[in-house]
Amino acid sequence: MLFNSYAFVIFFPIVATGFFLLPQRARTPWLLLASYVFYGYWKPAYLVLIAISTLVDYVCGRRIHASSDPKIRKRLLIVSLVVNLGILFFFKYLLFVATSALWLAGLAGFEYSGQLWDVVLPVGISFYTFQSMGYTIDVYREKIPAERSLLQFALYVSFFPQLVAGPIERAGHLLPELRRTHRFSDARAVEGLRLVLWGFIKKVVIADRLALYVNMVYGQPEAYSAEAVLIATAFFAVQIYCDFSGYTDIARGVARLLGVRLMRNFNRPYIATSIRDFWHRWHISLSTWFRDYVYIPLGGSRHGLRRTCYALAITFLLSGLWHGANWTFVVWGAIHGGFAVLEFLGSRREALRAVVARVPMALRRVLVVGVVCFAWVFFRAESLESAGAILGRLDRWYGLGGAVEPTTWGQLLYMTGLVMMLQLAEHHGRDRDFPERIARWPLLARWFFYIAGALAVLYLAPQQDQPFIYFQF
Amino acid sequence: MANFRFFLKLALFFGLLWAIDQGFAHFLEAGGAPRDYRAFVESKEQFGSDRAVDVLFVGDSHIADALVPGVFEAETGKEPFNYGVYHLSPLETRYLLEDLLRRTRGKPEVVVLGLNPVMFARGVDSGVYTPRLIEDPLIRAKLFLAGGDDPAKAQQGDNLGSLTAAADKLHLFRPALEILRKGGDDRPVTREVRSIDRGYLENHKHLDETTEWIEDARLEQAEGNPIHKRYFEETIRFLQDKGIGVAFVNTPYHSRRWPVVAPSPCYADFVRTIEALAAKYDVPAFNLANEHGGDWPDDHYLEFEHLCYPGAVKFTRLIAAFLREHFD
Repeated sequence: MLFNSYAFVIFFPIVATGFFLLPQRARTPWLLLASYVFYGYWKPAYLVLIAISTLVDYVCGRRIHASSDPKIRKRLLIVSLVVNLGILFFFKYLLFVATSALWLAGLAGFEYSGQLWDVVLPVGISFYTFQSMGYTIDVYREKIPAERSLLQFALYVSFFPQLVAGPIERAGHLLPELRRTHRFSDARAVEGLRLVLWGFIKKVVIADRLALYVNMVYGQPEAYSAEAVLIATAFFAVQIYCDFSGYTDIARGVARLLGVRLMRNFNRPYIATSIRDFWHRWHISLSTWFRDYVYIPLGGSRHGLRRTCYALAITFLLSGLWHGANWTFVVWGAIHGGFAVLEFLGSRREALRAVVARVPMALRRVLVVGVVCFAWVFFRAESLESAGAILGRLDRWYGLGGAVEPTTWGQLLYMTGLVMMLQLAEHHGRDRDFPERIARWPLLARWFFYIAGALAVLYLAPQQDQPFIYFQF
Repeated sequence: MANFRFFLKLALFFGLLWAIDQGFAHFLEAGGAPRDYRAFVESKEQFGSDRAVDVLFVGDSHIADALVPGVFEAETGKEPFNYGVYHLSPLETRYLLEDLLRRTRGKPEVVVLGLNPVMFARGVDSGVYTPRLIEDPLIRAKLFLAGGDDPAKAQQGDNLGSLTAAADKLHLFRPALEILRKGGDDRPVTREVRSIDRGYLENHKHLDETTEWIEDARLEQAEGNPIHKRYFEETIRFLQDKGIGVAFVNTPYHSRRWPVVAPSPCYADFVRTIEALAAKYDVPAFNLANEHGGDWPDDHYLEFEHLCYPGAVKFTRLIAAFLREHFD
């Protein structure tokens, strides 16, 4: 079920009303049922996968907690990881590995003309398997006790607001949030609705509008100029941010309406002054997951220069692969990893540190955005050839006329205006969510924003529906 | 008490939204888009920079229903595209063409402007079904401003409708509530679309009993809207400045509608205007409105105005011969 669908407009009020009317003991089963309906609405059969992840991790978590034998605990952890990663591998990476292997075999002269089994990727599989695995690892590390209630744990894995596109919550935070007694609160509901509205503005008004230009250029790069490619790439950077952070805001807002506080997933990523800083601000729930469960176990920064570089490179490559089974995502991860390693090496040299310190903050931000946008080319392109074709257009300069080719002057100005409006809003929000700032505005200004925002979402949405980008992961 | 206040605020919020939307909806055409609107949008999305178009047909629903690209291509060997848009007005045609020429590879050899005797008798808020235009708030704003200082605007209607036309397409309250209330979208199926080809919706539907549209208050207007006339002339100049050939075509009329149209002051004004522009800009004009009756039996029509597939095939062959005669 999509947040921006009629089905959800009917679904959510029923769920919220039922939730607050039911006694506390019935709320967990009610939310669990709602979460399964939310997910099953798309493809009921794939509920089995969530159920398997849930059952395996629940049993493994309980047994790990109960056992004091390190060997048994380790074996149980491995069972959990194998099952979760196995499901993920089968549905997400098997075809990719098979086609890559066949490509390599083809280089060696072996030709295979048979059909490969192309399975449909279950929506949100990367999110809920990571969330579920995180729980087992935390129980293994004795950071949290095992959850006693199967229903409570099942709800933790499948809580519908963040089930299909995060944030990837930690058990130590979400389980107590879900366990709390929730009373309806006027202030919380308004807070939630503000987040939902701002999320929809970012998704429908900004991201979907910019997508029209981006899709045009990336769909047929050979037809457009260098200017159009550069603008499309910059627009894509804003589109993916608004698309994903918009979804997160809606998810957080919906959860807030139910009294549950989800973590913040973005913090103005495009003002980052280094790649490391960017990853402290972008998809925070994923980057901290990789930090805690991959980077640190690989050695982190405490085992010498080489080990740190190795850990950084592997973490970013895996992060790229997490996003999708395609070489474009591997390259995307490699670019971020490469620059993260360079930054790390640079930070170890006193002379270089002094040089970097003298570079104006604004210039550093521009450089980081440049690197991030360069990497986005690979993220957005369908294939490495397509990414090559896009970058290959950078020698075809046609002036401003080239920039406007995929659209009209009016549209281009309108899109640029939207980007600037977003910048102003984010700047106004500073280190808080913009909707939190709105709460401090005078009454009339607040209501003007609510009405104008809702009308903008309703009137200014482009005709073509654009699915949330992160649904594919 | 706090909960009550919240729901009161929520009700006030939706009430305000509803009131504003109703205000906008007031300016929209009654009835909303037909259910085949999606197919229509899909057909226009086939237009793009991946294919060159030799002959581009632009006009309102008359040309949209009358030109079969497959037949035209077989007759002439040229690649056509039918960009007829329901209710398209001359004012919008100017902006639409600018947008289409930007999006196509190369430029067409000829742009055929489809005519309709009431084309100048419309308010400037006509044309709410144009997919590219209603997506673009800036173009809607331009439409809103166009002719803003023209006294005719006051007489001919308000173009706020163009500015807010998206409301009717984007499932705002009115259609949404209707759908919820009736359990489905029961707006009439105007055309039964069998296939979509380069902007054309293949429709074989023929309605025997329909009597609507024979009477038309617009036919009583002796003076067309000067804004539309100005923009129609500007369109011709715009195309000719780009070295693109221009032709006018008018589709045939049903035997029961023609006796109403022919003697009307609106038709006289239309013929006068078109003949003057054709002479001034040396544009070949093909007016089939006069050739009704025996050659155009009733079953060639969807209702009493638009052609259905058999009529469209016949019309396309005629127009192909006409264009061969006037262009290489």
